[in-house]
Amino acid sequence: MRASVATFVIAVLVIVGSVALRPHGLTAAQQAATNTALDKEALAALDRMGTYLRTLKAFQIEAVTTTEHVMEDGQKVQLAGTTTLVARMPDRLLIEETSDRKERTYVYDGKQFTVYARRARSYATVPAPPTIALLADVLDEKFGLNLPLEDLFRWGGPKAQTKALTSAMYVGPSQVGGITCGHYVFRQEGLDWQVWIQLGDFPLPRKFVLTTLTDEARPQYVATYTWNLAPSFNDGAFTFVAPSGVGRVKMVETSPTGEK
Amino acid sequence: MKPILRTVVAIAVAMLVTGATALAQRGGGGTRSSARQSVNRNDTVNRNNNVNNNTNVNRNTNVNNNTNVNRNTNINRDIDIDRDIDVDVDHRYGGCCYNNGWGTAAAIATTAAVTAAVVGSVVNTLPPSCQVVVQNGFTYQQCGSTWYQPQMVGGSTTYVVIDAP
Repeated sequence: MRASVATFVIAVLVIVGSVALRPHGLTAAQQAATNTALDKEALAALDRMGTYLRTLKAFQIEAVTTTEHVMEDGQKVQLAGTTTLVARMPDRLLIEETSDRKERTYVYDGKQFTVYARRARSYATVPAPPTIALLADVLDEKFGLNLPLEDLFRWGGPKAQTKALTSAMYVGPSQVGGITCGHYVFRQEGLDWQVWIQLGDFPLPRKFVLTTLTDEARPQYVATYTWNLAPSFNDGAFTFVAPSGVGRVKMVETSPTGEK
Repeated sequence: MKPILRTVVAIAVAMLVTGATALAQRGGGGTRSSARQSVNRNDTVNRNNNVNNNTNVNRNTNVNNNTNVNRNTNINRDIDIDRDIDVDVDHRYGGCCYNNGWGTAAAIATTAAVTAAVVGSVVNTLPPSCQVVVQNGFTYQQCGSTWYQPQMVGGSTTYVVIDAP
Protein backbone atom coordinates (compact mmCIF):
# COMPACT_ATOMS: atom_id res chain seq x y z
CA MET A 1 0.00 0.00 0.00
CA ARG A 2 2.71 2.41 1.08
CA ALA A 3 4.84 1.45 -1.93
CA SER A 4 2.03 1.98 -4.39
CA VAL A 5 1.28 5.38 -2.92
CA ALA A 6 4.93 6.32 -3.25
CA THR A 7 5.03 5.13 -6.85
CA PHE A 8 1.98 7.16 -7.61
CA VAL A 9 3.40 10.32 -6.04
CA ILE A 10 6.70 9.96 -7.86
CA ALA A 11 4.96 9.38 -11.15
CA VAL A 12 2.94 12.51 -10.71
CA LEU A 13 5.97 14.59 -9.72
CA VAL A 14 8.16 13.29 -12.49
CA ILE A 15 5.67 14.09 -15.17
CA VAL A 16 3.91 17.29 -15.99
CA GLY A 17 3.28 18.39 -12.49
CA SER A 18 0.05 16.92 -11.33
CA VAL A 19 -2.51 17.58 -13.95
CA ALA A 20 -4.75 14.62 -13.43
CA LEU A 21 -5.21 12.82 -10.16
CA ARG A 22 -7.02 9.84 -11.51
CA PRO A 23 -9.05 7.71 -9.20
CA HIS A 24 -8.25 4.46 -10.94
CA GLY A 25 -5.43 2.21 -9.92
CA LEU A 26 -3.01 3.10 -12.66
CA THR A 27 0.45 1.72 -12.93
CA ALA A 28 3.24 4.28 -13.19
CA ALA A 29 3.66 3.51 -16.86
CA GLN A 30 0.00 4.02 -17.56
CA GLN A 31 0.02 7.20 -15.53
CA ALA A 32 2.96 8.45 -17.53
CA ALA A 33 1.34 7.63 -20.83
CA THR A 34 -1.86 9.31 -19.76
CA ASN A 35 -0.21 12.48 -18.59
CA THR A 36 1.92 12.73 -21.68
CA ALA A 37 -1.36 12.92 -23.56
CA LEU A 38 -2.25 16.12 -21.74
CA ASP A 39 -0.80 18.83 -23.90
CA LYS A 40 0.06 21.86 -21.77
CA GLU A 41 -0.79 24.33 -24.47
CA ALA A 42 -4.26 22.86 -24.87
CA LEU A 43 -4.88 22.94 -21.13
CA ALA A 44 -3.62 26.52 -20.92
CA ALA A 45 -5.97 27.54 -23.71
CA LEU A 46 -8.85 26.03 -21.79
CA ASP A 47 -7.82 27.92 -18.67
CA ARG A 48 -7.54 31.21 -20.57
CA MET A 49 -10.99 30.69 -22.01
CA GLY A 50 -12.46 29.92 -18.59
CA THR A 51 -10.77 32.86 -16.92
CA TYR A 52 -11.97 35.18 -19.64
CA LEU A 53 -15.54 33.88 -19.51
CA ARG A 54 -15.63 34.61 -15.79
CA THR A 55 -14.76 38.26 -16.44
CA LEU A 56 -17.84 38.82 -18.62
CA LYS A 57 -20.59 40.87 -16.98
CA ALA A 58 -23.25 40.31 -19.59
CA PHE A 59 -23.42 38.53 -22.90
CA GLN A 60 -25.72 37.23 -25.55
CA ILE A 61 -25.18 34.11 -27.60
CA GLU A 62 -26.88 32.72 -30.63
CA ALA A 63 -26.06 29.05 -30.82
CA VAL A 64 -26.85 26.89 -33.80
CA THR A 65 -26.94 23.27 -32.70
CA THR A 66 -27.36 19.76 -33.96
CA THR A 67 -27.99 16.88 -31.57
CA GLU A 68 -27.94 13.23 -32.48
CA HIS A 69 -30.29 10.73 -30.92
CA VAL A 70 -29.74 7.00 -31.24
CA MET A 71 -32.65 4.73 -32.02
CA GLU A 72 -32.97 1.32 -30.42
CA ASP A 73 -31.43 -0.33 -33.47
CA GLY A 74 -28.44 2.01 -33.48
CA GLN A 75 -29.65 4.27 -36.25
CA LYS A 76 -29.04 7.94 -35.55
CA VAL A 77 -31.40 10.84 -35.96
CA GLN A 78 -29.99 14.33 -36.03
CA LEU A 79 -32.15 17.21 -34.84
CA ALA A 80 -31.30 20.82 -35.52
CA GLY A 81 -31.95 23.71 -33.19
CA THR A 82 -31.07 27.23 -32.18
CA THR A 83 -30.51 28.59 -28.72
CA THR A 84 -30.51 32.27 -27.85
CA LEU A 85 -29.10 33.08 -24.44
CA VAL A 86 -28.90 36.40 -22.62
CA ALA A 87 -27.06 36.41 -19.32
CA ARG A 88 -26.37 39.18 -16.87
CA MET A 89 -23.93 37.83 -14.36
CA PRO A 90 -24.37 36.50 -11.85
CA ASP A 91 -28.12 36.13 -11.54
CA ARG A 92 -30.19 36.92 -14.60
CA LEU A 93 -30.75 34.53 -17.46
CA LEU A 94 -33.06 34.20 -20.42
CA ILE A 95 -32.78 31.31 -22.85
CA GLU A 96 -34.95 30.58 -25.85
CA GLU A 97 -34.43 27.13 -27.26
CA THR A 98 -36.00 26.03 -30.50
CA SER A 99 -35.49 22.67 -32.12
CA ASP A 100 -37.26 20.73 -34.80
CA ARG A 101 -39.34 19.00 -32.13
CA LYS A 102 -39.75 21.35 -29.22
CA GLU A 103 -39.50 24.88 -27.96
CA ARG A 104 -38.46 25.96 -24.52
CA THR A 105 -37.99 29.26 -22.76
CA TYR A 106 -35.93 29.39 -19.57
CA VAL A 107 -36.23 32.43 -17.34
CA TYR A 108 -34.26 33.12 -14.18
CA ASP A 109 -34.31 36.27 -12.05
CA GLY A 110 -32.07 35.24 -9.18
CA LYS A 111 -34.99 33.93 -7.15
CA GLN A 112 -37.16 31.81 -9.37
CA PHE A 113 -36.56 29.64 -12.38
CA THR A 114 -39.24 28.93 -14.95
CA VAL A 115 -39.34 26.57 -17.89
CA TYR A 116 -41.97 27.49 -20.40
CA ALA A 117 -43.03 25.02 -23.10
CA ARG A 118 -44.65 27.19 -25.73
CA ARG A 119 -46.21 24.51 -27.90
CA ALA A 120 -47.53 22.61 -24.89
CA ARG A 121 -48.83 25.88 -23.40
CA SER A 122 -47.42 25.02 -20.02
CA TYR A 123 -44.77 26.24 -17.62
CA ALA A 124 -43.16 25.10 -14.41
CA THR A 125 -41.61 27.37 -11.81
CA VAL A 126 -39.30 26.40 -8.97
CA PRO A 127 -37.40 28.41 -6.35
CA ALA A 128 -33.84 29.05 -7.48
CA PRO A 129 -30.42 29.64 -5.90
CA PRO A 130 -28.72 33.06 -6.19
CA THR A 131 -26.37 32.49 -9.14
CA ILE A 132 -26.59 31.00 -12.61
CA ALA A 133 -23.79 28.55 -11.83
CA LEU A 134 -25.62 27.27 -8.76
CA LEU A 135 -28.83 27.15 -10.73
CA ALA A 136 -27.23 24.88 -13.30
CA ASP A 137 -26.13 22.56 -10.48
CA VAL A 138 -29.55 22.42 -8.85
CA LEU A 139 -31.32 21.79 -12.13
CA ASP A 140 -28.88 19.04 -12.95
CA GLU A 141 -28.81 17.37 -9.57
CA LYS A 142 -32.39 17.80 -8.45
CA PHE A 143 -34.45 17.96 -11.61
CA GLY A 144 -32.37 16.15 -14.17
CA LEU A 145 -32.55 19.20 -16.38
CA ASN A 146 -29.55 20.35 -18.33
CA LEU A 147 -29.54 24.09 -18.72
CA PRO A 148 -28.67 24.82 -22.34
CA LEU A 149 -25.05 25.94 -22.75
CA GLU A 150 -24.47 25.37 -19.04
CA ASP A 151 -20.78 24.79 -19.62
CA LEU A 152 -20.35 28.51 -20.23
CA PHE A 153 -21.09 29.13 -16.57
CA ARG A 154 -18.75 26.44 -15.32
CA TRP A 155 -15.53 27.08 -17.19
CA GLY A 156 -13.11 28.94 -14.99
CA GLY A 157 -15.17 28.05 -11.93
CA PRO A 158 -15.09 25.34 -9.27
CA LYS A 159 -17.24 22.97 -11.34
CA ALA A 160 -14.99 22.96 -14.39
CA GLN A 161 -14.00 19.35 -14.89
CA THR A 162 -10.52 19.96 -16.27
CA LYS A 163 -9.11 17.43 -13.81
CA ALA A 164 -11.22 14.80 -15.50
CA LEU A 165 -9.37 15.19 -18.78
CA THR A 166 -7.36 12.22 -19.87
CA SER A 167 -6.18 13.65 -23.15
CA ALA A 168 -5.69 17.16 -24.46
CA MET A 169 -4.34 18.12 -27.85
CA TYR A 170 -3.91 21.19 -30.02
CA VAL A 171 -4.97 20.46 -33.57
CA GLY A 172 -4.17 23.81 -35.21
CA PRO A 173 -5.69 27.09 -36.33
CA SER A 174 -9.17 26.93 -37.79
CA GLN A 175 -11.75 29.36 -39.12
CA VAL A 176 -15.20 29.45 -37.53
CA GLY A 177 -17.54 31.87 -39.24
CA GLY A 178 -14.62 33.94 -40.48
CA ILE A 179 -12.96 34.09 -37.06
CA THR A 180 -9.58 32.52 -36.54
CA CYS A 181 -9.67 30.07 -33.66
CA GLY A 182 -7.43 27.51 -32.07
CA HIS A 183 -8.86 24.03 -32.45
CA TYR A 184 -8.39 21.73 -29.47
CA VAL A 185 -9.50 18.18 -28.81
CA PHE A 186 -10.00 16.64 -25.40
CA ARG A 187 -10.98 13.32 -24.01
CA GLN A 188 -12.50 12.43 -20.69
CA GLU A 189 -14.38 9.45 -19.43
CA GLY A 190 -17.25 8.69 -21.73
CA LEU A 191 -16.76 11.80 -23.83
CA ASP A 192 -14.54 13.10 -26.60
CA TRP A 193 -14.93 16.80 -27.20
CA GLN A 194 -13.53 19.57 -29.31
CA VAL A 195 -13.52 23.29 -28.87
CA TRP A 196 -12.62 26.15 -31.15
CA ILE A 197 -11.36 29.10 -29.11
CA GLN A 198 -10.98 32.54 -30.63
CA LEU A 199 -7.35 33.58 -30.94
CA GLY A 200 -6.25 36.92 -29.52
CA ASP A 201 -7.40 38.96 -26.56
CA PHE A 202 -10.93 37.60 -26.46
CA PRO A 203 -10.63 33.85 -26.03
CA LEU A 204 -14.28 32.99 -26.53
CA PRO A 205 -15.44 29.50 -27.42
CA ARG A 206 -16.85 29.65 -30.93
CA LYS A 207 -17.70 26.04 -31.53
CA PHE A 208 -18.11 22.83 -29.59
CA VAL A 209 -18.37 19.24 -30.75
CA LEU A 210 -19.19 16.60 -28.15
CA THR A 211 -19.00 12.93 -29.00
CA THR A 212 -20.63 10.65 -26.47
CA LEU A 213 -18.67 7.42 -26.11
CA THR A 214 -21.00 5.50 -23.85
CA ASP A 215 -23.14 4.41 -26.78
CA GLU A 216 -21.36 2.55 -29.56
CA ALA A 217 -23.20 4.71 -32.09
CA ARG A 218 -21.31 7.70 -30.64
CA PRO A 219 -23.98 10.37 -30.92
CA GLN A 220 -22.64 13.86 -31.49
CA TYR A 221 -23.66 17.33 -30.43
CA VAL A 222 -22.41 20.33 -32.36
CA ALA A 223 -22.89 23.95 -31.34
CA THR A 224 -21.62 27.05 -33.10
CA TYR A 225 -21.79 30.33 -31.19
CA THR A 226 -22.22 33.91 -32.25
CA TRP A 227 -21.33 36.27 -29.41
CA ASN A 228 -22.58 39.69 -28.45
CA LEU A 229 -20.70 41.12 -25.48
CA ALA A 230 -22.84 44.26 -25.22
CA PRO A 231 -26.41 43.00 -25.24
CA SER A 232 -29.33 45.30 -24.57
CA PHE A 233 -32.15 44.13 -22.33
CA ASN A 234 -34.37 45.37 -19.57
CA ASP A 235 -34.88 43.74 -16.22
CA GLY A 236 -38.37 42.64 -17.15
CA ALA A 237 -36.89 40.23 -19.65
CA PHE A 238 -35.77 38.01 -16.79
CA THR A 239 -39.13 37.75 -15.09
CA PHE A 240 -41.63 35.22 -16.37
CA VAL A 241 -45.21 36.29 -16.78
CA ALA A 242 -47.47 33.50 -18.01
CA PRO A 243 -49.21 34.44 -21.26
CA SER A 244 -52.94 33.93 -21.26
CA GLY A 245 -54.01 30.42 -22.17
CA VAL A 246 -50.90 28.99 -20.57
CA GLY A 247 -51.11 26.89 -17.42
CA ARG A 248 -48.80 25.66 -14.77
CA VAL A 249 -47.41 22.14 -14.50
CA LYS A 250 -45.17 20.40 -12.02
CA MET A 251 -41.44 20.04 -12.41
CA VAL A 252 -40.68 16.56 -11.14
CA GLU A 253 -37.65 15.96 -8.97
CA THR A 254 -35.53 13.19 -10.39
CA SER A 255 -32.36 11.46 -9.45
CA PRO A 256 -29.22 13.15 -10.77
CA THR A 257 -28.86 13.00 -14.53
CA GLY A 258 -25.60 11.34 -13.80
CA GLU A 259 -27.48 8.18 -12.94
CA LYS A 260 -28.58 7.32 -16.40
CA MET B 1 -62.51 19.47 -3.38
CA LYS B 2 -63.16 15.90 -4.39
CA PRO B 3 -61.71 16.14 -7.88
CA ILE B 4 -58.71 17.93 -6.46
CA LEU B 5 -58.25 15.12 -4.01
CA ARG B 6 -58.44 12.61 -6.79
CA THR B 7 -55.83 14.53 -8.73
CA VAL B 8 -53.55 14.56 -5.74
CA VAL B 9 -53.97 10.82 -5.38
CA ALA B 10 -53.29 10.38 -9.07
CA ILE B 11 -50.10 12.36 -8.78
CA ALA B 12 -49.09 10.41 -5.69
CA VAL B 13 -49.60 7.17 -7.56
CA ALA B 14 -47.76 8.64 -10.48
CA MET B 15 -44.81 9.35 -8.23
CA LEU B 16 -44.64 5.64 -7.44
CA VAL B 17 -44.08 4.80 -11.05
CA THR B 18 -41.79 7.71 -11.72
CA GLY B 19 -38.81 5.41 -11.61
CA ALA B 20 -40.10 3.34 -14.47
CA THR B 21 -41.16 6.44 -16.28
CA ALA B 22 -37.83 8.10 -15.95
CA LEU B 23 -36.35 5.05 -17.57
CA ALA B 24 -38.89 5.19 -20.34
CA GLN B 25 -38.36 8.87 -20.74
CA ARG B 26 -34.68 8.38 -21.16
CA GLY B 27 -35.49 5.94 -23.89
CA GLY B 28 -37.51 8.85 -25.23
CA GLY B 29 -39.97 6.74 -27.18
CA GLY B 30 -37.71 4.68 -29.33
CA THR B 31 -34.36 6.24 -28.59
CA ARG B 32 -31.76 4.52 -26.49
CA SER B 33 -29.48 7.50 -25.98
CA SER B 34 -28.79 11.08 -26.95
CA ALA B 35 -25.61 13.04 -27.37
CA ARG B 36 -24.38 14.77 -24.25
CA GLN B 37 -24.52 18.52 -24.47
CA SER B 38 -22.20 19.57 -21.69
CA VAL B 39 -18.68 18.83 -20.64
CA ASN B 40 -18.62 20.01 -17.05
CA ARG B 41 -21.01 17.66 -15.37
CA ASN B 42 -20.33 15.21 -12.63
CA ASP B 43 -21.13 12.37 -14.88
CA THR B 44 -20.70 9.38 -12.65
CA VAL B 45 -22.61 7.09 -14.92
CA ASN B 46 -21.30 4.23 -16.90
CA ARG B 47 -17.99 4.74 -15.25
CA ASN B 48 -15.57 2.90 -17.41
CA ASN B 49 -12.62 1.43 -15.64
CA ASN B 50 -10.64 0.61 -18.72
CA VAL B 51 -7.47 2.48 -17.85
CA ASN B 52 -5.89 1.76 -21.23
CA ASN B 53 -8.43 3.59 -23.26
CA ASN B 54 -6.69 6.93 -23.37
CA THR B 55 -3.06 6.21 -23.84
CA ASN B 56 -2.75 6.51 -27.60
CA VAL B 57 -1.72 10.12 -28.15
CA ASN B 58 -1.43 9.56 -31.88
CA ARG B 59 -4.99 8.60 -32.24
CA ASN B 60 -6.47 9.58 -35.54
CA THR B 61 -7.24 13.24 -36.00
CA ASN B 62 -8.00 12.77 -39.68
CA VAL B 63 -11.55 14.06 -39.83
CA ASN B 64 -11.91 12.91 -43.43
CA ASN B 65 -11.67 9.26 -42.67
CA ASN B 66 -15.32 8.49 -43.35
CA THR B 67 -16.13 10.48 -46.39
CA ASN B 68 -17.70 7.65 -48.37
CA VAL B 69 -21.31 8.49 -47.66
CA ASN B 70 -22.54 6.22 -50.44
CA ARG B 71 -21.45 3.06 -48.75
CA ASN B 72 -25.00 1.99 -47.97
CA THR B 73 -26.80 2.80 -51.15
CA ASN B 74 -29.97 0.93 -50.29
CA ILE B 75 -31.66 4.00 -48.91
CA ASN B 76 -35.11 2.44 -48.95
CA ARG B 77 -34.11 0.01 -46.29
CA ASP B 78 -35.90 1.91 -43.52
CA ILE B 79 -38.03 4.35 -45.35
CA ASP B 80 -40.79 4.12 -42.79
CA ILE B 81 -39.43 7.02 -40.80
CA ASP B 82 -42.48 7.25 -38.58
CA ARG B 83 -41.52 3.90 -37.19
CA ASP B 84 -39.58 5.25 -34.24
CA ILE B 85 -39.21 8.88 -35.02
CA ASP B 86 -40.73 10.03 -31.77
CA VAL B 87 -37.55 11.66 -30.57
CA ASP B 88 -37.28 14.47 -28.08
CA VAL B 89 -40.77 15.63 -28.81
CA ASP B 90 -43.31 17.47 -26.70
CA HIS B 91 -46.27 15.63 -28.14
CA ARG B 92 -47.72 14.61 -31.43
CA TYR B 93 -50.14 16.66 -33.37
CA GLY B 94 -53.11 15.61 -35.42
CA GLY B 95 -54.07 12.05 -36.11
CA CYS B 96 -50.84 10.81 -37.46
CA CYS B 97 -48.48 8.30 -36.20
CA TYR B 98 -49.32 7.46 -32.65
CA ASN B 99 -46.31 5.68 -31.38
CA ASN B 100 -46.97 2.70 -29.21
CA GLY B 101 -43.47 2.48 -27.90
CA TRP B 102 -42.52 3.31 -24.36
CA GLY B 103 -45.73 5.00 -23.43
CA THR B 104 -47.82 1.89 -23.81
CA ALA B 105 -45.23 -0.25 -22.13
CA ALA B 106 -45.36 2.06 -19.14
CA ALA B 107 -49.14 2.02 -19.15
CA ILE B 108 -49.32 -1.74 -19.24
CA ALA B 109 -46.79 -2.10 -16.48
CA THR B 110 -48.78 0.30 -14.38
CA THR B 111 -52.11 -1.31 -15.14
CA ALA B 112 -50.97 -4.48 -13.50
CA ALA B 113 -50.03 -2.59 -10.37
CA VAL B 114 -52.81 -0.05 -10.11
CA THR B 115 -56.27 -0.24 -11.65
CA ALA B 116 -57.89 -1.05 -14.92
CA ALA B 117 -58.64 2.64 -15.38
CA VAL B 118 -54.91 3.40 -15.43
CA VAL B 119 -55.46 6.62 -13.56
CA GLY B 120 -52.11 7.59 -12.20
CA SER B 121 -50.14 5.92 -14.94
CA VAL B 122 -47.61 7.98 -16.82
CA VAL B 123 -47.08 8.05 -20.57
CA ASN B 124 -44.49 9.78 -22.68
CA THR B 125 -46.67 10.16 -25.72
CA LEU B 126 -50.23 11.31 -26.06
CA PRO B 127 -52.74 9.65 -28.32
CA PRO B 128 -53.84 11.64 -31.37
CA SER B 129 -56.33 14.48 -31.27
CA CYS B 130 -55.68 15.88 -27.84
CA GLN B 131 -56.67 19.33 -26.71
CA VAL B 132 -54.80 21.58 -24.36
CA VAL B 133 -57.13 22.73 -21.62
CA VAL B 134 -56.11 25.36 -19.10
CA GLN B 135 -58.21 25.28 -15.99
CA ASN B 136 -57.64 27.18 -12.76
CA GLY B 137 -54.20 28.11 -14.02
CA PHE B 138 -53.11 24.53 -14.64
CA THR B 139 -52.54 22.90 -17.99
CA TYR B 140 -54.21 19.59 -18.90
CA GLN B 141 -54.49 17.52 -22.04
CA GLN B 142 -57.86 16.11 -22.92
CA CYS B 143 -57.74 13.17 -25.31
CA GLY B 144 -61.30 11.99 -25.88
CA SER B 145 -62.59 11.00 -22.46
CA THR B 146 -59.13 10.58 -21.00
CA TRP B 147 -57.42 13.43 -19.20
CA TYR B 148 -53.72 13.88 -18.71
CA GLN B 149 -51.77 16.18 -16.48
CA PRO B 150 -48.45 17.12 -18.11
CA GLN B 151 -45.35 17.25 -15.97
CA MET B 152 -41.80 18.23 -16.79
CA VAL B 153 -39.26 15.52 -16.15
CA GLY B 154 -35.78 16.65 -17.02
CA GLY B 155 -35.94 18.08 -20.50
CA SER B 156 -39.06 16.15 -21.44
CA THR B 157 -42.74 16.24 -20.73
CA THR B 158 -44.60 13.20 -19.49
CA TYR B 159 -48.32 12.83 -18.88
CA VAL B 160 -50.10 11.50 -15.83
CA VAL B 161 -53.51 9.99 -16.46
CA ILE B 162 -56.02 11.69 -14.18
CA ASP B 163 -59.73 11.89 -13.64
CA ALA B 164 -61.36 14.83 -15.36
CA PRO B 165 -60.36 17.94 -13.43
